[in-house]
Amino acid sequence: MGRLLLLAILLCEVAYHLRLGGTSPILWTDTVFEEHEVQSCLRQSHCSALGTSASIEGIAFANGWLMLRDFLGSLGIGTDGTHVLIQLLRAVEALLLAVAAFRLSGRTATALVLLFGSTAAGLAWHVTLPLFPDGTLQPALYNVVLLPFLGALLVLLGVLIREGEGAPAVVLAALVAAIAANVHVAAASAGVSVVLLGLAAPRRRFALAALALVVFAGAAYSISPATWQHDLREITQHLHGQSIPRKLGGGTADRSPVLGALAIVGLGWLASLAWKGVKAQRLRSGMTVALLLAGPPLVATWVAGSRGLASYEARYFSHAVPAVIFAAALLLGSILSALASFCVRRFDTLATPLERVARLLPYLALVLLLVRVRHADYFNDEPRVAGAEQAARQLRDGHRWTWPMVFGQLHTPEGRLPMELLEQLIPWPIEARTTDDAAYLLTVDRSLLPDTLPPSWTRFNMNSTGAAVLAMTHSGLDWKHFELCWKDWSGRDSCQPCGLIPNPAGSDTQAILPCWPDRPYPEITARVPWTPRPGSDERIIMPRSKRWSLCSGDVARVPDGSSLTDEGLGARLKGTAAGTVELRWRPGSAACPVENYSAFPPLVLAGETRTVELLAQVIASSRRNP
Amino acid sequence: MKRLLLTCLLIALPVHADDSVDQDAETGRCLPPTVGAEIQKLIDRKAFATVTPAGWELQSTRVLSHRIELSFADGPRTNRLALIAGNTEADAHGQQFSLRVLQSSDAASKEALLRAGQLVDAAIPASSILECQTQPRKFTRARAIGTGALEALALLVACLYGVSRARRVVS
Repeated sequence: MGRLLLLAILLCEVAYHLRLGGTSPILWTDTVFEEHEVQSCLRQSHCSALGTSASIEGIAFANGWLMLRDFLGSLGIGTDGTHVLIQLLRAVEALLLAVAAFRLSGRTATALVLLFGSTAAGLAWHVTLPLFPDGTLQPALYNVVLLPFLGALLVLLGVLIREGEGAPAVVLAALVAAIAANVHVAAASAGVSVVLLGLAAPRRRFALAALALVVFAGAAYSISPATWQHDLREITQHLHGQSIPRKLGGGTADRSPVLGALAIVGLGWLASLAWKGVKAQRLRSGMTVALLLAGPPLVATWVAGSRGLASYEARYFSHAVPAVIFAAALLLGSILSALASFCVRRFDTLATPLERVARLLPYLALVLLLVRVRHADYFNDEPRVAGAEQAARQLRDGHRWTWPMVFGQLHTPEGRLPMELLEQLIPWPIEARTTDDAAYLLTVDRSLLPDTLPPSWTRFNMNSTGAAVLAMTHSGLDWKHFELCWKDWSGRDSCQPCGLIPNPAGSDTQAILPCWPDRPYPEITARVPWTPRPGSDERIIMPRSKRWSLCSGDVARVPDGSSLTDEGLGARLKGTAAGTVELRWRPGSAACPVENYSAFPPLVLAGETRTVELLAQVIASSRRNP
Repeated sequence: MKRLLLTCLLIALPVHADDSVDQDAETGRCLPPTVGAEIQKLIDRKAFATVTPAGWELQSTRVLSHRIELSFADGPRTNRLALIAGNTEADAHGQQFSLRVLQSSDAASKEALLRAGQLVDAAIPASSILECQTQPRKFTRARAIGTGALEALALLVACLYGVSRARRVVS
């Protein structure tokens, strides 16, 4: 392949992944957790020696990923910059696979790798691509997103090992595997793969396998010794108790991703053994590399899944997906080449046209990549870190807000997650201030917003269609001191004081509101004090949405002089005397499905009439991504 | 040149792994697995019910390498306490552990959590808490950034090496 073609492919892949992933990550739980660790390291020199908690009970992982992020952060490459870098690495991933396929099998397999190699889930023509999802969420930034790139790098180095490149390739492959194991504990199986690759080398097999083992074990342990000690200790403890660590949270019991991938690499390898032809040796090399790289992670996922340690999701073998793509492309490429040879033997006149088609294949793949770039569109109106950061700066620098104000007076449809992120993104003053300011932060499709926004609104454009909106208003509702009541399943009523006040310093949890029930009791009521603002009325709307998973309620009671509207879904607050507004939610009802309920106050729009009605209109007209 | 770079990488990773850690973040005391059995005895005796208000229910206990976490449900609320082996900044101190309230709904809940913590503290013999064999849980900024830099360097070298070797043969 010419350099120009490689460059063109790389540029197309970069454009494609930037279109899909965007230039700023979406608001995602893991992103927020990781950002907390990174900022704690960079600002306070408290860097985790363990990493974060895995979804397997008691297991720590991902410290290698956190330290990579610490390093990038020290260079001034923050969340957005790292996210863009990951999109670039996704593009490089396709290029690495293309180079490996070209070395072994020529143009057809290379073109197929490029077509199959769009490993991130995406949408084109409203059809989910690709054939081989790698289990990562493209617009999010978290440890798993690095694994497919590492997997592709292992494929290329694996091909070199199999082709006799010797110790340098083995050492580098072992180092990459060690880094992968410290990015996600499930990728520790890459260590087994590199040892097997050493054994599959054409010369000095045992020496290379031993070298791979030593380098992998030494480097993996050295990157984060405490993590491995901790995990070993946890596993030992569980073994003492005659039990194994438990998977936390849900997952899929669908084994088809693992089975499908195993079938491709397994059957492909068997087919390569029986292959007769001029390129049989190289096909066997490629399929062996794919089997050795994909086999251990797939078998490990299968075993872990069958023992309840993990589910069968692709994210547990993300680093194996490039090897599966590689195997599929080599096999199909070989079949197509064999068919072409057969046709040429039978019909001489086809030789020249088929040769031309073969020459053009990489260019055809390039054209398809370009089409894919044109149609890539993904998560355009999801909340992004960049929007949250701009809103945070606007609040802090433009409106002089402090952290307690953000916690108590900023409301979003996403609940407490944005709070946790906002706390990490910029340093906040921590003194409490009493004002009747209220703010709402939404990320929506720009077309839903009026051409001229109210002066108190600020719009931050995120991408071609999405925008974050910060709407400032004034509200007499005091969310910092209200009474919370609930009716439990036996019909017993209980009440307690509550307030949107951040945890004191020193707590190891963020944005937790202990007074808010974390169980979805049949009825929950907040009695919120209201102080009228002289000369202006206030509007309350309990929003409904087809896009956000809101727990919606109604207004049960308003102070004298005020009135309920929309059959209790809203209220107009008037009068000069302070009073109490009673807001009610019924978890388990159609308006508040249990799965939408979280231990944080649901969204209530309250403030100046124009702002609240416009916000409710935007929320009601916003639709979920197709 | 490549061999030299590889050698440097291989030497740098393990050497780097031994460098500074933040000792302040640790008490140097660690818990063996047998600690879990002592807590189980308390649960079997329903001992926590004697020190916590009516309606409290023990949700979970976690024995980590240097601390124990207890979580109690009080109706809709969750109250959490950490018992950290050794002497460190905390809400109260027992014989063996420093008691740190992680989450409580009010002052009475905090008191109840600390009573439960004292119960655990008294139940675990001093001899069962060991000097830590493991490394501390915090790295310094320099250690974390240095390791991250080496990881990035290793990936860059692997990438350049792979592409250059593969293309050289193809060409």
